[in-house]
Amino acid sequence: MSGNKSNGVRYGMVIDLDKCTGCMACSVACQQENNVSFREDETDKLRSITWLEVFYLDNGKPYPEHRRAYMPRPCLHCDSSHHPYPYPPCTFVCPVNATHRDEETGLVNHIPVRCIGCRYCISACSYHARYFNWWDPKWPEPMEKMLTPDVSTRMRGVVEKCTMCVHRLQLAKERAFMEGRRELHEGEYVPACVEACPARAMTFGNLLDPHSEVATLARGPHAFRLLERLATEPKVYYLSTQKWIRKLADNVM
Amino acid sequence: MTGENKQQNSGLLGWLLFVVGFTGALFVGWVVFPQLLFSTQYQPINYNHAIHQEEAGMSCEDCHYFRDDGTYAGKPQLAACVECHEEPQGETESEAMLVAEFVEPEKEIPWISYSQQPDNVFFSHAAHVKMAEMECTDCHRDVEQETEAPPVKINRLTGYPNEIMKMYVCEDCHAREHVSNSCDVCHK
Amino acid sequence: MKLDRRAFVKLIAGGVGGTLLSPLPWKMADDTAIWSQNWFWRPSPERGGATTANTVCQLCPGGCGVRVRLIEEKRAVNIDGNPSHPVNQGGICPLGAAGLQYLYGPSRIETPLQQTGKRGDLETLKAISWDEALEILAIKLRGMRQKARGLVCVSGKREGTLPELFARFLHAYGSPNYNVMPAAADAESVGLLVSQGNSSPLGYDLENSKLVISFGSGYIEGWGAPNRMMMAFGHWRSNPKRDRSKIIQVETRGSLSASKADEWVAVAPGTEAALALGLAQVIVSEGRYDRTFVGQYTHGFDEFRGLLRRNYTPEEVAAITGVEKEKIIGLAREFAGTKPAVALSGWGQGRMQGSMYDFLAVQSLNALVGSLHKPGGVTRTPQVPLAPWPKVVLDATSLTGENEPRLDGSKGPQFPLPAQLFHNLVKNINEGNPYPAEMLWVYEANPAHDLADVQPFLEALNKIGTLVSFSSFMDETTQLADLVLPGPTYLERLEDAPIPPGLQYAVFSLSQPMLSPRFETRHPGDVLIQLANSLGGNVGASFPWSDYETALMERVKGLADVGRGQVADEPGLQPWKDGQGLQLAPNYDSFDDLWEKLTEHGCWFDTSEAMPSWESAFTTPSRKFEFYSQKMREVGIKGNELIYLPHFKPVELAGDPRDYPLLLMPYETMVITNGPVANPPCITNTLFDFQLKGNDSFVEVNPKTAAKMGLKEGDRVALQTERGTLEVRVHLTEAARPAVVFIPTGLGHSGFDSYIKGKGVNANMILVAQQDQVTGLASWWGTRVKISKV
Repeated sequence: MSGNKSNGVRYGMVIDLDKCTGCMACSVACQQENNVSFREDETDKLRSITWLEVFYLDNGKPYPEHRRAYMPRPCLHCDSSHHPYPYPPCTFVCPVNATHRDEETGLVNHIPVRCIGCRYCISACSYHARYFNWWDPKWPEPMEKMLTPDVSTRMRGVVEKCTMCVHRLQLAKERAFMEGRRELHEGEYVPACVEACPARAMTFGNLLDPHSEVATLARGPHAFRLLERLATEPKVYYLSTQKWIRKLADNVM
Repeated sequence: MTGENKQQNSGLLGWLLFVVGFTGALFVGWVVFPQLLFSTQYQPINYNHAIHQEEAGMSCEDCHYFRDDGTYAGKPQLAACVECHEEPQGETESEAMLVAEFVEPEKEIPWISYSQQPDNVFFSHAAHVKMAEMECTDCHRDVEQETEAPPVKINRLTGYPNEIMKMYVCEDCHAREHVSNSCDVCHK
Repeated sequence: MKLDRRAFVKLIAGGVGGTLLSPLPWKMADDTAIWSQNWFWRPSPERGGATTANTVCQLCPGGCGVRVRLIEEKRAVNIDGNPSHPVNQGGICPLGAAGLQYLYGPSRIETPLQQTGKRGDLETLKAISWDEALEILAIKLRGMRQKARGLVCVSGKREGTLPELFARFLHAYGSPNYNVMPAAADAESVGLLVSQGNSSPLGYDLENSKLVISFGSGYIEGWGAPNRMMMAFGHWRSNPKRDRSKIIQVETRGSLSASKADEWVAVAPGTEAALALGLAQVIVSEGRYDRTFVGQYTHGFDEFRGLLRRNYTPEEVAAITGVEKEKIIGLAREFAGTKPAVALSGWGQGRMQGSMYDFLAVQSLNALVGSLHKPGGVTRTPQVPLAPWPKVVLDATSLTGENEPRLDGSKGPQFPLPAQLFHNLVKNINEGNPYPAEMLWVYEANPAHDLADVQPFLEALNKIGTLVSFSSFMDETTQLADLVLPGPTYLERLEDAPIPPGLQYAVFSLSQPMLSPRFETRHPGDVLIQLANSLGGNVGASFPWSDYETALMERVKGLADVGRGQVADEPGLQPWKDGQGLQLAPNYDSFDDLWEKLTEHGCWFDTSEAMPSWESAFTTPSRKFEFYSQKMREVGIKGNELIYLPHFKPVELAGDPRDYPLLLMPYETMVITNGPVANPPCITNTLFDFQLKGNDSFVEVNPKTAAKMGLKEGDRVALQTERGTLEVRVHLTEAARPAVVFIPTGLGHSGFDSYIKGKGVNANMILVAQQDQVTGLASWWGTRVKISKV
């Protein structure tokens, strides 16, 4: 987020799929940062939890015209322009107000302790960004030591999803408060995935600050969002010079 | 006894029983229940705030301070005690215990928090103290004159201390002060 | 007076009324709600002050600076990249980010172990004390001193003071049999020896290249220093459009590197070198080569030109590689016409040894366009000026040992070139030729799983008297060990990290203990020093240090003595930006200062060593780059003229094509860890369910091939080669070349923990190695396979 707050703050991300090397560092860094639990069998994709899931795309052409690309998908933190209900689909359906869009930052949060596990939000989400805890999260005894206190662990029967590392925003604000600032500088608050990306394919910042890197990139000619026709207004943009990737973006995922 | 009398008596008895039930329930609810609900726990060391301040000339910030990253170190670490208490400083029992049980084996003192929030709560002392310029005593009891550490009342059902601030208190104040009440401001 | 129903109702009503006016119901309701959120068996991470500390990741040779987030300096909760480290500049790979799952993982070994029963029986692997363990080992070593040459060591690390200490121990003890795990670097070092005169590794100035053509290298999939490569890739992609670097991938499989390249040239299996020579032929015949370099600084160009003209015309190369003639000509023109351009060699992650001739063919391209020792091209990795340790003290036994032939036959009469030949080592141990292996030390390597063509190695273990493992984890090799001497992990110990592979400037990094060791582990360096001291004599005298730290400091003093380079202490350092030969003013004033800063920031780097000039770069007999290797003649390799020149030598595939109609090729990916550690749960999570599902791993098969064989997506099949059979499932993908089956390496563990054990199959079990008869190096990709539905 930039110091320029005059337009307000909408945190967003741009992921350059041309630069993405599909190494999965973002996904792993996310799991470590957010105390995401795991089980002995992590290959059951209907049951495993991956806040930042990397999707596999290919152009469907035969060898050797075949090309693949990987697409990291955090929670897209929809802004939704549906009238008269300007809520992201997941927050609109929650019966207990456990998920909610922060009006000041645009981040869509989800509070697991408030969640009753009805999973309505999971079906409402157009991007498969939400995950359910089918079991109690369990870490082998010594691994409990590596759990970070910055994020609370979840329990059986609740939904969880990417928060854009909102705890990092909380901590960044605390640091700013120590200097008597309310405004954050660009780069002071960055989610773990963006920080990890070795190819620097991910950019994060305030989309409403016209001078921020993220806003500049999001305006670029190759920028697109997933399933734009649903008018969910995701705040995660993708970049790709490849036509076939851009074409896939507005199809079913 | 006539039937009427019987009825009257019975009516009277009934009302008497009503009063008994009513007062009994009030008594249980107001007196017995809190006794049962809260367990009393004592601090591992009977810490004397007053003496540290008056005689040792310490300030609050010597033990309760902001870390460089803006987070707040509420519970003091043993290292702070060791600075002065490597050897017992007086004759008291607490003093001997401090040195024998914690300083010498280099074991952290398991202080019991009077206002421990659940682990899904993020509370920023910096936001309230540095930015909103609130006083510690707006939320915490004044410990300046305390010569001994009061016991901590722990709710047997929830496991949290009785002094814990509830969410509606946070929300009320945030609403009054026009501070965001969005979930992710305080939950992690 | 009688308590009738009405009276009772009044009592109850009073009770209810009283209760409602007391806090009881409201408080109970509220507290019950809170109670319902307290799942006491759910871990609640302990709070505390957070700090970060810099260290260096040692999970691969990539040498990335990492930051560890610590709570009250007692437990580590996160690892991310160190923005001040020039190699990765804050980026991190999935393995590095998963580091804590190794530190706290359940497969850690807690104490020294001794096998009291049958090898491989985990029940009888008993915990012993360090004193006992060292005593057992010392007694054995004293007892076999007269057969000292029978001590064989395999190190998982190639570079660094710890592998050097192991090599030093063997030298002092009297054994010539120090080895590292085989890799493409073996082919590189032999190739450099014969063409440039010495074996010091290559450094690619990739960040400044305008065209990169990779011959099978998984440049974003773990080749070289993985993070540095991905960072370079991001850099190529962010150059302004007109100035954008181009990447061409030559590979059989449609890997990520192939898909992410600007152009993918699909070649027939194992024919990358033929394509390189085809490009060379076009460049030479059209006169597009660097005339100054070729004319003045090369030897044997005429012979090379003749060979190209005879054997590698575009037509012929098209027939070998399956790449169209016009494409070959176009690629050659593009490569010669773009400056600076560079060609990469070494398959996949460079874990497979491969052929020296493949390496030479690719390097001849770099030579032709004058990209050797030039910005944007390829040079040699500069030496880090560490101070030497005192000379090893030798006695009669160790002097004899020095002159003993190596067990693997390298540097011997048949194979005088390579420094090591793992394939031969295994063969010769099995045959007891020329002498038996008495004891095998395995230092942070897992040959029992990771060696391609692993079965002969497993057999060889039966011939080895004692197997000692210096591992931190219960890997397959450690399970088979007789004695286990566990080390602390890289987050719990001091250790240097040498220059990452392929880097063009000098870097020296230091990992340091972030935490005190979790278990009764002991630093391998300290173990060696203690062991040497207990042996005494010349071995003890060769290890004059009190502990590893002293030994390491002695070497690091060299950096302070030369007074060059800087400690990397600010983000955004790009040492490649201004080219090599740039003097940096040291930001330390003494050794103590340097050591302190190194400990704080973790990295020293230096750009002051300029790339060597063409006059001085080559130490061959001709003092030139040798297309035609005089060095090979000099060491006595005899054969036809062809063997002295870069040429394409097809591998003889293992297996009769009638029995085994398809080809089995292994491949590596970033998300299946190869090497001394296995996948942690958080990386396994990122695998797609067409790579691994339940306990089944998948092989990639082209849909056309599958259709011919009646296979559908997900079918369970048996893969049969000459070595054996594995059961897998098929994933149909157009990334696979027809008639080739691609199998991932790194799965099929029987060691480690329940999170990885039994998942997938180990491709190495059915791969067959083919040895090159000139160099002795082995290739691992040419195994024929039969695939049948089960």
